[in-house]
Amino acid sequence: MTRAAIGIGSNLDDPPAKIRGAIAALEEAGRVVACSRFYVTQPWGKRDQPEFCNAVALVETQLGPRELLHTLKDLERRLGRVPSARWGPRAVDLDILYYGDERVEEPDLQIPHPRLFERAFALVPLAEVDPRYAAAAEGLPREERETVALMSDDQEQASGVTTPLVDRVRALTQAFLETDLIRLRIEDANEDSIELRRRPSAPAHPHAATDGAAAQPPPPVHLDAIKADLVGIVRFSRKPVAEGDVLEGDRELAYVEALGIRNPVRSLGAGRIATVRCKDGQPVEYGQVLFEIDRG
Amino acid sequence: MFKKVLIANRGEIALRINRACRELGVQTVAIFSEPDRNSLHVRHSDEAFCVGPGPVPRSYLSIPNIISTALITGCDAVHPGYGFLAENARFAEICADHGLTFIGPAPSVIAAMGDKATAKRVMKEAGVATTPGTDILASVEEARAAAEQMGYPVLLKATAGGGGKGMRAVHAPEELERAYASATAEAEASFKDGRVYMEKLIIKPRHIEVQVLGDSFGNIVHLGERDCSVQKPSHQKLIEEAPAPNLPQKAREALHEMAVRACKAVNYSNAGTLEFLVSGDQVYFMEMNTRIQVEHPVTEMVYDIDLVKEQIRVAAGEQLGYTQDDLRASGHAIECRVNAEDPRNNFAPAAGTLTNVVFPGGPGIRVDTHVYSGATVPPFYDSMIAKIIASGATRDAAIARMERALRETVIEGVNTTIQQCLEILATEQFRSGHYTIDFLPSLMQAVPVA
Repeated sequence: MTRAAIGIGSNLDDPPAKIRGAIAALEEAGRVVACSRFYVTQPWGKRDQPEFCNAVALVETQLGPRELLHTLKDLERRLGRVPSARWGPRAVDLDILYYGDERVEEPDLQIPHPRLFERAFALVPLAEVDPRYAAAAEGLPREERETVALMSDDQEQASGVTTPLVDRVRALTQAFLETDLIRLRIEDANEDSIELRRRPSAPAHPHAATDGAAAQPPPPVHLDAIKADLVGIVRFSRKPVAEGDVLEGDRELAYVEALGIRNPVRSLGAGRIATVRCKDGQPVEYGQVLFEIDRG
Repeated sequence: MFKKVLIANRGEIALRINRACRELGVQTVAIFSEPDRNSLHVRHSDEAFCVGPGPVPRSYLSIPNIISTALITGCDAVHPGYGFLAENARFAEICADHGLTFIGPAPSVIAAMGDKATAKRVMKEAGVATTPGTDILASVEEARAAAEQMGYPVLLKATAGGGGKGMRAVHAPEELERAYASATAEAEASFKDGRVYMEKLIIKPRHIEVQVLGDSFGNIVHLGERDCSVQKPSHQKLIEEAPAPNLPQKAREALHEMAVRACKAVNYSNAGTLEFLVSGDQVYFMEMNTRIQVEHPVTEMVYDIDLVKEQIRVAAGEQLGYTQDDLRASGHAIECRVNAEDPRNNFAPAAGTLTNVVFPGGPGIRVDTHVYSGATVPPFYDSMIAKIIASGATRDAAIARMERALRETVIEGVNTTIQQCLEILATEQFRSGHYTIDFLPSLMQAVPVA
């Protein structure tokens, strides 16, 4: 087991959330034994970049230095997936600051990190989790030291997976209202999905009530997925549900027929059927989404 | 021949079965757990169904979901591979109840061979040499009398046992009482069956097994033996070879003859393996595995036969179509198991992402694996990620090829047993071909890998 310090940085797409994700993912490299608080760093050099968020984690790892590097690069690739810009900048940077007492001097890997003692964004959080670096952090030139500041609780708490969703829903709602669409559904690679509808949507006169609804946009919703919990053939119940149906309470939506037994699929509460993601008579696997319910 | 086979397994053996089906023109249905969604066995099958989450009891042992998958996809047979449900007689019966052919022997044979005491009795009746031993012991007094009679050291074994659970070596009379109590308690806890029996403990034996194959017309052949004596202290096999080196011809013939006789006695069909302990010229039946084995490729290499295809063919009702005289072994083959575990950390299984994977190639090398660069090794399953098989005209040639192949292999992201296999191949003892099941445990003690 070797203790390694990993510098984590992000300036894209909700950096604190990205950093939290990176810390969780570091479990693939070893056991995370300590983690600094989050810091905001003024971008260095390029001024048109957004602020960076930085932290340092200590990891107890069985991986060798090069294996660790490969694992980190792989994590960067996976964590850095930004749906809007496939080949865009990496959302997360992971650097080995030190690896036990080892020194590595190779073209693509230098340990300890060669600029560790010059960069406040690495040294200041590192000093927090490893007191051996406290003196070095204190000794940084003042202008360098001032490029980093502890992230306020507000900043940290304002971030999170819901923030971009809220922003996106707000922008989408605006765009939605400028059209005469009655329903807009967007899914992204993270399996988040958003659906907007003008209400009320009486099936007999789908357009009748839309005029008044424009002034009052539907609240953004997160859909609740009803999944198959066994392998079989899905069959709709005698009174099949359709998209838009409002459920007063818990109700059987369909059943999965397996080995001659009907296993009910229930709505698990009230809501509105947002989508029907299966066809009557279709084979379904474990965990397959059958219906999505808007609980709002 | 079958139209569509459900492969009730994962990993390299699922892929191995898929390959055999493909070559026979049979369609395949893979099953997988959620973390295995991107495994190669899923990618190469015609259809694939998720049957549950990562933990084995809820996915690869979920009989209802597996049978349901077979039924809704219109399969006519199920291949169980090894491990999981492969030796579960109840599963074989359930398959039959649903009109699915279980690719393996009859459920009654699986059940008989799965119970070690019954298996031994059946073998004894067929005239197969078994280790001196007792029936199920009723009390510690009975155990004491039996031990006095056969002489120490003795071994207490759980009748429902496996994986070393409920097994205790007893070297002297004063150890017996405590060993009996802990063996029965462990057997009860592990298998809900506390019954134990006693065997003579054979000191420094070799573990040699015989491959057999039978059809449903009573034709049975053997495909020689494999030496699996390179085992970890946990009895897990690491390196296997065929044929067994330095085996006296008399012992070899006795093994083959006994294996065929035993199979005829139980009317065995499909592929199976009889495991023996060999000490000098003495040969003792240990147990029978009623399924394909991990190490089957070494036999395939020296006999130039596809055992998995043969399994499918005979299960579909075809005749073997050849006799013992038609079968000739040639050359030598060795298999090294590449396990994702850390030899430097007490062989703890390692999970993680394989960041870079390059497998060897060239003449005489075969690689059976389900992993690739970027694949993840989930923490729920067996640690084996690949088998590397080297064959050559002679044992020395096969060893040289294996060393070369292991050095070509790159696996980054997890620690593996490759280095340990190289260390074993380099020892004088392995090269001489004179080793017993004590070889690896004592090597691991003598040279602590730092």
